[in-house]
Amino acid sequence: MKKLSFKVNVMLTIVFLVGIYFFLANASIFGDYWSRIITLIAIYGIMAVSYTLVNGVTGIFSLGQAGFIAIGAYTSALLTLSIQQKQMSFFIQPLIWPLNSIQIGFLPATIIGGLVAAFFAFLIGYPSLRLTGDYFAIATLAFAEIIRILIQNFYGLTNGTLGLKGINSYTTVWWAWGWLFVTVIVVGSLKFSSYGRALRAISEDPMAAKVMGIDVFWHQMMAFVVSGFFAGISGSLYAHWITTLDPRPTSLGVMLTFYVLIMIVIGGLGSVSGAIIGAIFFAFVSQWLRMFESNVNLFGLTIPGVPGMSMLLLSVIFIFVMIFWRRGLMGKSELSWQNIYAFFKTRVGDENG
Amino acid sequence: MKMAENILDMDKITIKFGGLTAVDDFSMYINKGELVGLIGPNGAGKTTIFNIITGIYKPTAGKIVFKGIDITGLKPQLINQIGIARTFQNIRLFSDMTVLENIMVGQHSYFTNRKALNFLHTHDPKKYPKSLWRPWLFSAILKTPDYVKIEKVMKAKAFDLLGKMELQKYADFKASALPYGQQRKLEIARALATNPTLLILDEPAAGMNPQESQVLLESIRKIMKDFSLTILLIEHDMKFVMNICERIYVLDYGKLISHGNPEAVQNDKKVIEAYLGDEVYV
Ligand SMILES: Nc1ncnc2c1ncn2[C@@H]1O[C@H](COP(=O)(O)OP(=O)(O)OP(=O)(O)O)[C@@H](O)[C@H]1O
Ligand SMILES: [Mg+2]
Repeated sequence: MKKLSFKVNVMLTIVFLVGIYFFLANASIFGDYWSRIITLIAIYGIMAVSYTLVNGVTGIFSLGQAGFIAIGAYTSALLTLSIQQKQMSFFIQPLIWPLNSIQIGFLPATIIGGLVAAFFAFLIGYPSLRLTGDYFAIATLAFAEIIRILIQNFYGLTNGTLGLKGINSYTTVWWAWGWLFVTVIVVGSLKFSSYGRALRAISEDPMAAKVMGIDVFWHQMMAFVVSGFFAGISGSLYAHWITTLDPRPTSLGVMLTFYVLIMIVIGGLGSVSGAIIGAIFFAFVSQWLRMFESNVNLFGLTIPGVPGMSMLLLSVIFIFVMIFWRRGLMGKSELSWQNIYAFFKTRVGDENG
Repeated sequence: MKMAENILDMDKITIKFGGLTAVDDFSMYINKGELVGLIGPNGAGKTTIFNIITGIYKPTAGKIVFKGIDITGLKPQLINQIGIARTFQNIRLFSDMTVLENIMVGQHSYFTNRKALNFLHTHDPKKYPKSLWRPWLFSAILKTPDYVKIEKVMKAKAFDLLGKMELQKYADFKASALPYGQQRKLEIARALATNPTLLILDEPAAGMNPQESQVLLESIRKIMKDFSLTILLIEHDMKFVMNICERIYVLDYGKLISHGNPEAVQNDKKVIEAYLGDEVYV
C-alpha cells in the first residue's frame, strides 16, 4: 500500500479544517434548531473524548463521567450567573458568600469548572483507583450519584431541587467546537506520546506494565484527572447551552454517563476520532428517535407515542452493537487519511478484482 | 569480599499462601556478571521466587538486598527502575501494540523514574545525584522540542535493540502477530529496554525446538556481554541449563535442596531423587 506523504497529510488536514470552518460559519443557514444541534454535537464530542481517555485508552471502567460534568456545569454556571439572577433564584436559602457577589466571564468560568472537576477526579481517584475492575466502576458510579444527591440537597450552594435558571446562553457553535478542538489536540497528543503508550500498556496488562517500571497508579490517576478536567469543560459548555440546570437523574445523573458510554462504545473504545463519530451518531439518532415519543402517523394508522421510547430504542441499538460489533466503528485505531485511503483503495481493488 | 561482589542477596526468604509454604527459608546470592540457573520440578516455587524478587509478592519473612539496597517489599515499578527486569513464563507482551511500541513502553520510565532516582539519592547521596523535576507530561502533550528529541532518541535506541535481537523486520508488526519464538525474544528485548543490571528470565526456552533454543542460548550469551548484565534464569530444559549456567540452585517443594556448579548439581543424589519423583529429565 502506498504511504501518503507528510505533505499530502498536512494539505488534506488543512482542507478538512477549512471545510469545517466554513460549515460552522454557515451553520445558521440550517436554522436555529439545527445549529443548536451542531453545538450539542461538539459538547457531546468533548464528553466522549474525555471519557474514552479513561475507559478506552487507559482501560479502567469508570461510571463517574456525569459527576464530573455536573461539577463543571454547576461551578461555571454559579460563576457566570448575574448577581441579580442569583438573588432571584435562591429564594429558599440564599447563596453562600463569595459566590453571591461575583460574576466572571465565560472563559475563566469554564476553565475553573474544568479545574474543579479535575480536582474532584483526583479526590475520587485517590482511594478508588486502588480498586480493580468492577469495584472501581461501582465506586465511581456511587461517587456520581453522591455528587447528584449533594447538589440536590445543598440549597445554599446549588439551589437544590429548584436548580439554576437563567444561565446565559454563552455557548455558541464557536465556543463548543473550539473547546472540542482543544480537547482533541490534548487527548490525541497525550495518546500519541510516551505517556499514551504507557496508558495503552496499562490497559492491556497492568502487571506487566508495573514490571516494566511504569507507576500504574499515577498514570491512571493522570488520565483520570485529565479526563475529569475536560468533562468539567463539557459540563460548563452544556450548562451555557441548555441554560437551566437541575439535579434530576435524567439530566445530569447516571443517564448522562450511559449516553456517553453509548457514544464511545459505538465509536470504538480508545479511539478519539471514534468518540467524535459516536457523539455525532448519538446526537442525530437520539433526536430522530425522539419522534417515537410523540404520536406517529403511519399510513393512516396512529401509533401512540410512548415516553422513554427513544431511550429504549437506543438501548436496543447499544445491545446490538455490543453483541455483533464489539470493536465499534473504529476499534482502538484512529481515523487518518492513510486509513481512509487504504479503505477506499481496497474497496476499489475488490471491485476491479 | 563476597559482599562487595554480590548484586543480589536473598536471605532466608519464606512466603506462605494460606496454609501452603510456597518458598521456605530460601537463601541465594548472585555475583555481578554471573549467569545463574534456578531449577526444580513443577510447582517447586521458582516463579514465586521471581515474583518476590520483582516485588509482585511480599515475602512473609526474609530480606532481599540488591546492589546493597534493601528492596524487600518495594513496589514492582521501583524495583524495575532500580535495575531488575524480567520476562514471564507465559508470555505477557502488550499484544495489541506493535513490536516497536512494546520496546518503547519499556523505555517509558526513563521519564518518570524520578522516584527511583530520589530513592537511590536518599540511599547514597554521593553516588546518586538528586534528580530534577521536569514537567514531562506537559512537554509530551505540547510536543516541546526537548520532548520530541527524547522521543527520537527512544526510537533510535529501540531500533538498535531490535537489531541486536534480530527483530527489526518485525518492528511494525503487532506483538501478537509474531511467531512464538520471536515473542519470547521480544519479551527479553522489552525487559532490556528498561536498562536493567539484573535480568531474570522465566523459562525463556519453553516451547522451543532444539535449534531455536540453541539460537536463544547464543543470543543470551551475546546480550549478556553487550549489556554487561547479570542473569538469573529458570529453565526446565536441562541441556540448556547445564550448557549456559555457571551456578545452579535446585528447588523442591519451596526448599533449596542443592546448589553448585552444573556437574555437582547433576550428580547430587537429592536432585536426582527430586526429579525421579516427578519426571526423568537428566
Ligand atoms: N498467588 C498464589 N496463591 C496461592 N498459591 C500460589 C500462588 N502463587 C503460587 N502458588 C503456589 O505456589 C507453588 C509454587 O508455584 P510456582 O509457580 O512458583 O512453581 P514453579 O516452580 O514456577 O512451577 P512451574 O515449573 O510449573 O512453573 C504452587 O503450588 C502454586 O500453586
Ligand atoms: Mg513457574
